[in-house]
Amino acid sequence: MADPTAIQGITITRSRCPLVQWQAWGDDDDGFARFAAGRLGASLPAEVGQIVKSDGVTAVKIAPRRFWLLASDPDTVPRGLPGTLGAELDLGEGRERIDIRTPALRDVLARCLAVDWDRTQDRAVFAPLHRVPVMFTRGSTEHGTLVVPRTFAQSIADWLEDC
Amino acid sequence: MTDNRLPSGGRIDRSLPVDFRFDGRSYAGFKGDTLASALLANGVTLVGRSFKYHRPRGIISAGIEEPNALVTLGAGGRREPNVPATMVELSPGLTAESQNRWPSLGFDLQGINGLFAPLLASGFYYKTFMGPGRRAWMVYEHFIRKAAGLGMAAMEADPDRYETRHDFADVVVVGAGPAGLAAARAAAQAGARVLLVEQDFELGGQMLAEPRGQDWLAGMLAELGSMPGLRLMRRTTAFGLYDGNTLGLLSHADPGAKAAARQVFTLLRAGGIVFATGAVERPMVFSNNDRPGVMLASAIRTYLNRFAVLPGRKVVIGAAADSAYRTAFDLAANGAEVVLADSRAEIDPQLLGQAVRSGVEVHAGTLIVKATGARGVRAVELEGRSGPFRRQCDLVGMAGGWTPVLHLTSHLGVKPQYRQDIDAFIPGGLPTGQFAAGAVTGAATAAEAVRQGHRAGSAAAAAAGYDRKVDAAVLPAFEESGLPHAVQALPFGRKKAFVDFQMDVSLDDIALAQREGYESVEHLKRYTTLGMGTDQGKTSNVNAVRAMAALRGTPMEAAGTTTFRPPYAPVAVGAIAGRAKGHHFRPFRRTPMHDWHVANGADMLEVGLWMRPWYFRSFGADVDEAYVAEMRHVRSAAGLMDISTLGKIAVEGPDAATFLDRVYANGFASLKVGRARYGVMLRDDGIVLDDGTTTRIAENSYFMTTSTAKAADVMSWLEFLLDVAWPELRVSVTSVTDEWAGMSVAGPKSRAVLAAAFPAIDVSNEALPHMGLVEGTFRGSRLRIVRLSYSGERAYEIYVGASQGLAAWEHLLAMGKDSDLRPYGVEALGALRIEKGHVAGPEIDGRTTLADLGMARMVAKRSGYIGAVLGQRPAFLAPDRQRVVGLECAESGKRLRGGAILFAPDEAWQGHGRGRVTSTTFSPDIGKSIGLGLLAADFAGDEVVAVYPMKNEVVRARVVSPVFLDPMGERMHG
Repeated sequence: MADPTAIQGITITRSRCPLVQWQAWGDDDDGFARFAAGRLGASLPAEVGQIVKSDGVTAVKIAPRRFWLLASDPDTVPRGLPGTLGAELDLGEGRERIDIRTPALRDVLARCLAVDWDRTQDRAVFAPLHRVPVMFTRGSTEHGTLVVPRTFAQSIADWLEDC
Repeated sequence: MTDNRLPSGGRIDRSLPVDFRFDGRSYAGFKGDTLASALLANGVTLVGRSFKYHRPRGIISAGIEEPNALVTLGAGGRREPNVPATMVELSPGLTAESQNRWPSLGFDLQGINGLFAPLLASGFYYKTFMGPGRRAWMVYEHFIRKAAGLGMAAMEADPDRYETRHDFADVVVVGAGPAGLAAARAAAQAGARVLLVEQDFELGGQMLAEPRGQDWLAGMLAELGSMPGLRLMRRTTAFGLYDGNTLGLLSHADPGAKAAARQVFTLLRAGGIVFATGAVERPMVFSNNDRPGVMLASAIRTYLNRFAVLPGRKVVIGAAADSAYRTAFDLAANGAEVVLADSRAEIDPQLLGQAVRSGVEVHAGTLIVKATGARGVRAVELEGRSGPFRRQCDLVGMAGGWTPVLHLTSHLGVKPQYRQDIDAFIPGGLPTGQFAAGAVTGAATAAEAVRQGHRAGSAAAAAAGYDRKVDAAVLPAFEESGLPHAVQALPFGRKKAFVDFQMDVSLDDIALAQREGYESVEHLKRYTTLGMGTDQGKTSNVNAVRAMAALRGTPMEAAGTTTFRPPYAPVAVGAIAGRAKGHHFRPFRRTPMHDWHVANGADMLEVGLWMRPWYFRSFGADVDEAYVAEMRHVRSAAGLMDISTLGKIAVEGPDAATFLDRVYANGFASLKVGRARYGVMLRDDGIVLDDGTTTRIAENSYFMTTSTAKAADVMSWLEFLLDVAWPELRVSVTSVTDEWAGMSVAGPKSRAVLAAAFPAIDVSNEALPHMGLVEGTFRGSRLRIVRLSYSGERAYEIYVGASQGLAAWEHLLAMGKDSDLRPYGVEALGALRIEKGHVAGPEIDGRTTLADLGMARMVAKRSGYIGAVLGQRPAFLAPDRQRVVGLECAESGKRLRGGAILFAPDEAWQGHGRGRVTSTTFSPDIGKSIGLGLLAADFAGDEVVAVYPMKNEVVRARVVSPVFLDPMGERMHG
């Protein structure tokens, strides 16, 4: 029987999520910032949750001194952070990207994620979805992207599709 | 049947008649009615039976505080018991039944309980049904529960949908009475995003029953409706307040609309909160005050003015507050004959003058002492200045003062404060960002409530960062008097004077509790069950506190209140669960090879959130047959195991070696690049946290694995240490569990499998010895092969990028075909490690130390690692400390069972014994049931008795070395 509460017209797309993590040691912030700006072509975001986009790369500050660099093409993700400045880790195998497209995106989010819709513009939000930690970014009023742990991706996609 | 509906007036829609059924009979009401108002309009006053004595009960209130008129709605899976008729919005086809009666509401055989009331006082069953044996209560309880109770829950699955949601607002206003409406208006004008939450299906609160306030209400609703930043949630109860200004809301579907979900549970995060939750009128305590037809005076006024129902023609109102007069005047204006018994000696002369003009007979200094009548009130006995007298009546109003609805304000521990001038508890000092306004603070008039609401709304908006200029408050244009309430005199000694209607607790019960020493209100609650019904004592608490205070001779504030906890009103479990049921009860974690396992005959097992292959049906029809066959296969050929579930943590940085050296009890600084080491982590208190292996990938890069179960705990622990204990270390820890697919090839043919699968990599004993690492690539993905063994066989752990996990798995199986490589499941894995004596979760159970697990030699003289100091506590070195041993079943045809208690053969099977069995399996190599256990180190015997009381099992077992197989490790190292 069709679920009467289901959101109509929702499209869920799963794809790989090329992602590199940079963590600065904190003892040479200027050097780290210079290196990052050189690789990224822009300054790294200053606040946790802030997003900076440059040359097809999205940089998100996910925690103090820790950044995620995401791109749709693995080759465009900047790499090469010197070990003297911080640690670089490729996390592209362990995350999946789930794109949600629906005119009822706000309603879908309200059913799934503790996200204040009015505070999601140009911000990344970290919250549990179906008890799994995810990162959410809003592309438009009808399109949002989740970055989810790969092993939970199927469960989360099922959950979203049943919204 | 009496028709109590007035020919005009009220807020009902007379153009929309609504048919409904109650106890099998058809009735009619109108849209805008509640079930309670429609029943009263139809002359139905008997609607239920009481919890314990099965006394006839009617409708007392017009709101959520209703203790008596509980009904069961619907049928089948949609059946919902214990719903207050006062909160049920009338809708076409609604079906309701009365509860706790047999064979009928009018003739309830168990009404005989009332005759034995003197024997059935509070606590009687605990005192009476004590014997003859310890289990006797279980027999009695069955009958007691049949004799007393409320409605019956449905046994069928509920077919309706429930939903959970998240919501956010700058300012939330709870309650849409005069104060709430004013608060919402002010906050929205200040620029805040405002959410106004109202449990009723109409906005207005007490103003809905105030004929003089209709214009004000209409104007306010029109203005609020045009405010873009304001949202309304009707039919929504704020049932709990939680940390961070988070409110739990429960919304009921509009019965007239096609709703998606029957109920919606919303977790609402707010910048500021205004509690405009109002107050409920307090009943008066007199004999038979529970008779149908005895109602709160404010409820009478609500039925009269909001629903156009005149519930009685001859009315006596007992008053301790001015608000009773408005009810009396409105009743008189609609043709009722009204007597008002005011317990106060002094009465506002203006009210008295208006009473005379309205034809209301007022008796000052007069109390109702008893109601008479069986299934409905017929008369009351009063005592006044001129002595006792009696009045015939068909309706009794009670205006015992007002009790602020402060529950939400107390959910986070804020203690209510007693206000003597209004004889009520009000909210205590609220934390930043929370405000209270209106009757909940003791405001006695609508004008004062509006003023308070306006201020609170502005303040809440400011707290959330919004301070635009706000228009002046719009005050209602009518006057009200608000003299202090009289403190009710409680008639101790009078019978059947009920304080808690729903739980059948009378003044006598409270006196009994006090005599027996249950003087604290918390003890009183538990001894008498006062306040423990579905209404949570909304009408009874203050009267009960006053009664106990009077009996103890203490002031009200000293007596205090019980602790208010969520939920304020009942919440369906289904609403909390929402869609998280069945398939969605919890998320599942799937390894990259999950689908292959399912498609290739694996029986899957939930291990935490993971789905793992339990066993493969190609080895046997059931787990017992299959896992033994899988074990034999691994020992004789080669087995492939999915170990992607192991926790995997990347430890990076110049100080990583130092960090690991402190984290692990055994040293890691000396670990060479390209080598792995088994490590054990302790908690601060010296107890083992987890074990695993860590491989040095590069000078400043380590690859740590943890047990599947403890992965999250270890990750949190490492992050905590770096954030708090050693922030100076340049180390980064990141969970990479999802990054890598892991698989283990074990068995004597494992090297041949690897050589065939990865011909470009030298996997010889010299190039890849035990605890060695080789790296490479597999189809462009990173590849790590670490030679480690959990089974005791020569074994290799192979890690590839998760996206290539399935390909690597299938590649290994294809290349290992000649070596008869076959997959096996976790049951066999667990059995193999028991044979080898490797400890795991059952032994590392949060109680054992390194020495307990036989690993004390690992740390030798090391110091400086976490847990080193407290691990030397005397209790950990006690001679009877339980240590890991091997156990071998000594009786053929029997088996050891995990959890069995170990005793010496000659001692009584009492207490905790000498130890316990932790892990068991059947060993095909040894041919019998074996296990690991924790046994007192000072136990000198070589045989124990394993007792499993739950199944009356007793098995003799020999105490042996925990390493059952290959103690020299030749199979592993070869």
